[in-house]
Amino acid sequence: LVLVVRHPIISLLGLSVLASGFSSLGLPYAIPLKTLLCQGVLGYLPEELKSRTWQEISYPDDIEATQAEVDALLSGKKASARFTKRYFHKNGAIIWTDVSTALRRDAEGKPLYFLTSVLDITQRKQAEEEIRKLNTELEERVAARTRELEIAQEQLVRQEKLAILGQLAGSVGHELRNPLGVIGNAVFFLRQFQPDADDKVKEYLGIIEAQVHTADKIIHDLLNFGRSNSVILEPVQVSQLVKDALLRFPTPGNVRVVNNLPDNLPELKIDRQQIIQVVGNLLVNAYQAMPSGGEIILSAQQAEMGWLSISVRDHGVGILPENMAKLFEPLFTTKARGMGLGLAVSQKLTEANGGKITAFSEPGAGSTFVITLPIIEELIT
Amino acid sequence: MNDALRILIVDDDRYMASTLIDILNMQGYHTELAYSPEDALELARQAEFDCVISDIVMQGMSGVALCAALRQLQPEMVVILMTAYASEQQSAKGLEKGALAVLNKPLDLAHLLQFLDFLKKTQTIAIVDDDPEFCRTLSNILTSRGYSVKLILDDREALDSISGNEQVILLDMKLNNASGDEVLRKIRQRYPNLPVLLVTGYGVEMASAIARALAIDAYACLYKPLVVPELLKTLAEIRSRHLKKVLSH
Repeated sequence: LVLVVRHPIISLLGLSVLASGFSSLGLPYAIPLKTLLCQGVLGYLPEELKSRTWQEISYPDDIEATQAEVDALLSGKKASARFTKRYFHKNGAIIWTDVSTALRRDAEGKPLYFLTSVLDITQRKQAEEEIRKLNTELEERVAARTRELEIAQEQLVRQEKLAILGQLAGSVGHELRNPLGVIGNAVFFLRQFQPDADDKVKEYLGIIEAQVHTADKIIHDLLNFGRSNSVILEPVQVSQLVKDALLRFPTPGNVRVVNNLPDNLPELKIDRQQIIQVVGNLLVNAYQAMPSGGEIILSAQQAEMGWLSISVRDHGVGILPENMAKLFEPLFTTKARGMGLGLAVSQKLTEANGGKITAFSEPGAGSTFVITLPIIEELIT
Repeated sequence: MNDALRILIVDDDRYMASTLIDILNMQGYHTELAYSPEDALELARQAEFDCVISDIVMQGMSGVALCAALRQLQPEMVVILMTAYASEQQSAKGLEKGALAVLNKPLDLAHLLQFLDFLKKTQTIAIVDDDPEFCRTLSNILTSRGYSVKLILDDREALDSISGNEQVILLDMKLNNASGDEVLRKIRQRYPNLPVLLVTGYGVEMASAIARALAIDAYACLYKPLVVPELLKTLAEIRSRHLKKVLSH
């Protein structure tokens, strides 16, 4: 609500008015005020305003700006001004207002009075504040969603890469099996053809045969990587599984395995063969991390409710910090031999069994790989 | 069936084909070679083979289609497929069209040779029945179809006369000195895996004996007078099943 009053004529338009001070120019203070709706905006009665300066009823932070406008008007820089400012309502509340004021001068240009209209824009300001808040919220949400989408896109690209890799692997692997088949046949024939051959000849035939097997195994691993793994879940005794993995992936002579797995671990509902392969991969990595020998510690414990963690810790060379992020990427390897599929396959298999795999390392001191798998529900107490 | 197994090798990879041929020849098998499925079919039309070993992925017709065509030509043809492209779909398709097995390259030759040896040794059908007339007519039917037959007319000699290398024993249920299931029990003690097919003219009377025999792994019971096509079909089924078991294990 706004009340405009002109000294000495008081307008009866039902607007509320302010007194402006002229103290700096020696002009009379306190223009008589029309009170009709004074109380509507600022709550003061006209007589109450008479004894107050505009500074007194203004919000302190806005005084300087208001003064600047007044000065600009008085000095003639401008004829009218419009600005927003806060006043104190009589009850102490802060009211946002839209102030429009003009300085009336006499015929000689001497300041006569200020003609001011005041609009209560508290609600508008609140609304603006709301909008500002919502905008900020919206921008945050957009930023978060953008991050989500970027992550999803990274995943898609990675999956695409894996799919192409799988196809390529499949193609190459299969093609290679043809010549391997012929070599295998040729060696078999030579063995039969010369059963009494020199021992050296037999040895060399054996070497060729073994290499054919090795090549076939590499192809087998490659093809299996590209394939999606169907999981056959069954209750499994963890301590036995780890022992089986140790048998299947025998420890080199200079490595000592300390098996700290308790025998009474809860059973896991997993694909036995797949998890043996995962544990085996971790064991082989541990062996290879300590070429001059060392100790590997195997342990297990219940993580949060319903999860069991199995750890393989070696005291080998460790993993450099810059490599940690790429550890589980297919084809990433720091070794001279090998395709770099071991950890990628391990991660794939672990996740297919509802678990996850994590790595910790201290370069020079060793690494720990932890697989966390779900415990059978019925056995959780 | 001849003495030496006649084996047809089909593969467009010359070296795979020639190495296989050399290995089989060394074992004493009679081999022939076709570089294409069309050539293979032509050869199969002109001569009988005991076994065909064929690659799957070739120019023109696939090995699977060849297998189907060969089995149409000769319904009990033993066909083994091989491939470098191990896929479950392909395997299933091959078996569906009548292949005994789909082997992966590189081949396990020791295993393959073991199988061929088994194929060669177990060609004979033995008939244990004390009715000489029945035996003679049945024997004629079977030999005219290319089977080699051994007759055991006295059930007391059954255990001694059976070598264990028969492809199947045709066992009558009502014998002079014992019932079929008792004879089968004795046979099973020595040869737990030998296929046995029961025959009888006394289905009702021998019902419980038949039941007992089936319980100790007799394949089925056929009733006299035998319907020849049904008999031949059953014999082919028994053979195929047994060969598959040997090849796959």
